[in-house]
Amino acid sequence: MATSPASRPGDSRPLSAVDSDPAPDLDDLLVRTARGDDQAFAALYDALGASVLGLARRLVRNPARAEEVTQEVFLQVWRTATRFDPDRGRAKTWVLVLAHRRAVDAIRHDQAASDREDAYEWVGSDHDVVSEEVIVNLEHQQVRRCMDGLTELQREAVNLAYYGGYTYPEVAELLDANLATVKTRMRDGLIRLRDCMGVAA
Amino acid sequence: MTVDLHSLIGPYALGALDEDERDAFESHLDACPTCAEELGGFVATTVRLGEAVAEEPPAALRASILAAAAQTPQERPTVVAMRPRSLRKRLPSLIAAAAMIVAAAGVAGYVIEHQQVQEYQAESSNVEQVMTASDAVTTESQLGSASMRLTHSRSQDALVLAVSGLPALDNETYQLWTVRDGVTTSAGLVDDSDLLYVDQVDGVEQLALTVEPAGGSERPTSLPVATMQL
Repeated sequence: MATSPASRPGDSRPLSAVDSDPAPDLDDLLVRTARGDDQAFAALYDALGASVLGLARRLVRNPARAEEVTQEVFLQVWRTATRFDPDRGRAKTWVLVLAHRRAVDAIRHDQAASDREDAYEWVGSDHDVVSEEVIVNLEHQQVRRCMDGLTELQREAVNLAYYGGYTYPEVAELLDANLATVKTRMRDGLIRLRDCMGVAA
Repeated sequence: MTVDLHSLIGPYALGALDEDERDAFESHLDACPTCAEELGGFVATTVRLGEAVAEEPPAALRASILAAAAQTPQERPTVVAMRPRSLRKRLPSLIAAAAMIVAAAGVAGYVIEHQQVQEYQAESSNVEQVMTASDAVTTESQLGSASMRLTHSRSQDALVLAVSGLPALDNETYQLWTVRDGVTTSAGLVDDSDLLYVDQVDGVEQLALTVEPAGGSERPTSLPVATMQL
């Protein structure tokens, strides 16, 4: 993983005079958030809000619900920032894992597959009106390319689990494959993606 | 069993486990450093997947989140005890001290394996005094995936409780209580992989662990998920 996070459009600098590094150190921002530093928290949101919202939107489909999930995620980050230990992991990972969990919980909570389809249609018809644009970034293209390098079953398994929010037994059901196969494909898929993206283990 | 659990590493990294399996896998992880390393790479990979679908959030969302945070209290740092002010300051070194003791006792890997032992400070020897007291009695109890290890010393009039493997809670917290003559007193909030030092325990008959709303309660609002006799 890169040691300094890429800056994004919409990054705003924390008003700290001490820090002259142009890219905010997210770990540091989260540590400061734990001490009640609301500017650090705002900077953390500026750096990660787009990823959290995008992931939530991808999972829960409904844009209003995705914003709710995003708000829940950041409030949980604010409340529980003291639990973050920079020796054990990176702030970005902490926040995105939390976001994925929250969004999946929201799906399971809202439930009923048919609701999801309805919500999806609704997004489709409303999408032009909404001005949010998908940020086309390098990561996106790289992920695309690496995804193309997977076998179909690996790709489907990874997609349905991560972007669909399905449990692996649900994925097995959807792909008409057995559980052991699905678990293996997920792992193999992740190994290929990791190597393709050059993510350090 | 280990092999079986290990096969969950892909689904775990992709967030495709239900809560029970997630807990089971996490306890497997505690005992398997190589899995933790592999998992690190997988999770970093999923972070890329997440970033790849980033969408610019509407400005109103930022305002709403910052406003909500301004009105939301933050969780206190992990260990709270009966004399929180004096204790909290010493917390990091308490944990370090305990980690060293645990390692020395040959049960390394238990509870605090992730905590890095940084420096041992002699002034923070409360935990050590309990753990090494000649009359220290240790009892261990298992509750589902969670284990609790209670060390009590009458001569020190204190106890140390180590907790690991507690199921994660959403918007709720674990809280420890002492029961003395039927009177219940808070002994602080409990986080997973936590180590609590509680002193002035003379006359305490029982410890109880309950699930409370985030931030804890003045009095228990639910039945205990675990009790331990002293």
